[in-house]
Amino acid sequence: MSEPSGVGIVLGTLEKFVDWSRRSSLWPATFGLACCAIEMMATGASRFDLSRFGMEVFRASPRQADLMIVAGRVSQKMAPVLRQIYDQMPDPKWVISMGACASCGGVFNNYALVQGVDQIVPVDMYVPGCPPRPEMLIDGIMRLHDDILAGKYRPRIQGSKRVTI
Amino acid sequence: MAEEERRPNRLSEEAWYPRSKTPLRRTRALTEKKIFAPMKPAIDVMLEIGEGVIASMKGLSLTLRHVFRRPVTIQYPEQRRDPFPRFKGRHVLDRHPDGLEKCIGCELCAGACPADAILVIGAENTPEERYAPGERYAKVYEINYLRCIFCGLCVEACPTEALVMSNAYDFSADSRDKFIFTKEELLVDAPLQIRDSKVVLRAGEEVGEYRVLKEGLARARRQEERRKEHEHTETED
Repeated sequence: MSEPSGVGIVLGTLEKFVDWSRRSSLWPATFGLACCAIEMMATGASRFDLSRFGMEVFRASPRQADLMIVAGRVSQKMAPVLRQIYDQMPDPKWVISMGACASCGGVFNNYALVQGVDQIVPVDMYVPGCPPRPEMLIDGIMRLHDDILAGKYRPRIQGSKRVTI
Repeated sequence: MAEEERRPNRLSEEAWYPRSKTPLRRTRALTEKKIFAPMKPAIDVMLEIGEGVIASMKGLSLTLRHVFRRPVTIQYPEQRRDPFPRFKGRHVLDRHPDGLEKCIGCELCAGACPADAILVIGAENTPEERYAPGERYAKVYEINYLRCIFCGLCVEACPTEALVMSNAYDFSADSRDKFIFTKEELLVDAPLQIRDSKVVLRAGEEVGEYRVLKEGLARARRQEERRKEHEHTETED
């Protein structure tokens, strides 16, 4: 309250600008696990063209990625790998659980698969379908974009250990 | 001496690679490859440049040709692909033309579902509270769209054609709860397939906002035959 009112306006605008820039270049990590990955690749290819949203660079290194699209069923063996890749991603980071298998095991209700990737990593957006068509994935991504732009994840980012702003 | 006997035809190192001749060979090879080409007529140089220009123009023309082609990209949120006639999207629970629900709560869809995505709890109709023709109706009808794999087995299993699939597909959400669609969300306000019992809707036909995925033609015909038989017996009586 004691600070001059101008500071709030400037910082608020800056936060919005940071949100906007985060939304505008959300780089996904390459994490295709099963048939959903085929649709994910189709989404990145020219017909659906994720580069319209500044997302065409699927990063092989998790250090350069902001978004993990878990595309496909996660086996119990893959779970620690997935968690490690998530931990290696730098901190404003998001997870999309793509398809029925990643979201809750889908038809594979058995001992070999993790029944929902949200048991391992926090999921920000679920995309239904088996596999989701590219439009469904783009819809999920755009909803995530809207959430980021609306500042929904700002408390989580600022509350994390590595403060980015 | 022993070694010479074993390999009599072996030539010495000197014979294979005459040390005195090696540098000469090397230069000859390099001049043949025109790496050391000492001097070249100017006309040759001009021709080579010309060849290079033509080759790169050939390559660029392929790139340029794509400028005049129709773009393949679908601008998704603004522009939508027309789904195929039998596209399997979100389910819809249909009503009879008189407004009663078609679903009779038999749970066959739940039994057919390979992903256990459907929950049906049936109840008895009473004269005061009548939801469906016949004895029973679905008191609770829920589909979990995170589990659903859109295979359409439930639609095939439905004996009253209450469950049909629409074209809606984009309904991502950020929490699991939002994917459990209750009966209120699934049930259509107006009957989807307003039709006389003898009219058969083809798959792909549009009814209101929705498009009919599957019309059990054989089943419809069978029902029709049965009805005719019934009419015959009635007239005979």
